[in-house]
Amino acid sequence: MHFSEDDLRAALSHQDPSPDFTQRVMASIGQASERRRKAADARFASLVPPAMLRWAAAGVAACLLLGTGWFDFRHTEGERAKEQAMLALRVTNAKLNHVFVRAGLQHTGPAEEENSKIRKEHL
Amino acid sequence: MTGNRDAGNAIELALRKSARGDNPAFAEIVQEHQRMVFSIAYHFLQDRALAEDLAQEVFLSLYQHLRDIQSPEHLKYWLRRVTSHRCIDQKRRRRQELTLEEAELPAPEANTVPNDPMLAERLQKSVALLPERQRIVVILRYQEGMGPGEISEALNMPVNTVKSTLHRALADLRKKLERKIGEARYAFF
Repeated sequence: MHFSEDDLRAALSHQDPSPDFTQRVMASIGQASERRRKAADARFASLVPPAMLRWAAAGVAACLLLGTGWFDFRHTEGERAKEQAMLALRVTNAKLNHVFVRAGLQHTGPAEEENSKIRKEHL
Repeated sequence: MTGNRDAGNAIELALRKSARGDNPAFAEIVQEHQRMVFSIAYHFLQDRALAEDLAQEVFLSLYQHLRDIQSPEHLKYWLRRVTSHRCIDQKRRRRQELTLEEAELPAPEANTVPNDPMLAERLQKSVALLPERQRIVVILRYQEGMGPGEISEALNMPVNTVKSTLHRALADLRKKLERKIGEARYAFF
């Protein structure tokens, strides 16, 4: 029997799959993506057990709280030390003025004002 | 020509969108190429259900390799190549030889006209009886209109091997059809 190349082309022409083929492909892609996502979650969960994850979160939260508290404490301490240092300077200044007055020397600067201020503070 | 370019642009856009996870764009790609993929599988396996399953696997694999596809031409090449290899693999895995009984074939007519539906059916069945390599080469050549060079790239075969395989396949097809006619005539008289 003779056949031409055109006969072969006609015999092997394109055929349509079922009408719902595209929907089925998209559904299988959805299922595959879901399976992959679940597998990835399971892998992560197997690496870090949930209990360990909870403890890690609690640890991080505690560290944050302690760090903030420590910073606040240091800040307040610093402010107080600064105030004490300023007071000590004022007292020293007042004493020196007093000594200078007794010794009959003239002291320059806002000594008198400072003196009276400290005296008021002490009273 | 303009229509082809427009279709190419639409597929290029769909490719870019689907690579970013746009599923409706991927559905467009499936719709555009499902006939080609399904037909290769169907002519090779001669089973609609198996061919649809295989085509579905091919598109699933495409979805996972979308980032590797560079252009609509590359997409077509990739689909033909993967479908061909999967057809051969499936056949090897299953080793389920087609059980087409020659007696089931319709009685041949003495003279046939070109594009005769009976001749087409007989040719399809005879193609399905060819060895795997010959079968896929014939399908890619006559269904997809691919040249020997393209077939050699898709199947990782030297061009000369493709040509000789095609030549042998056509000779085998002629022999098979002649034998069927001879048997039918003998049965008739």
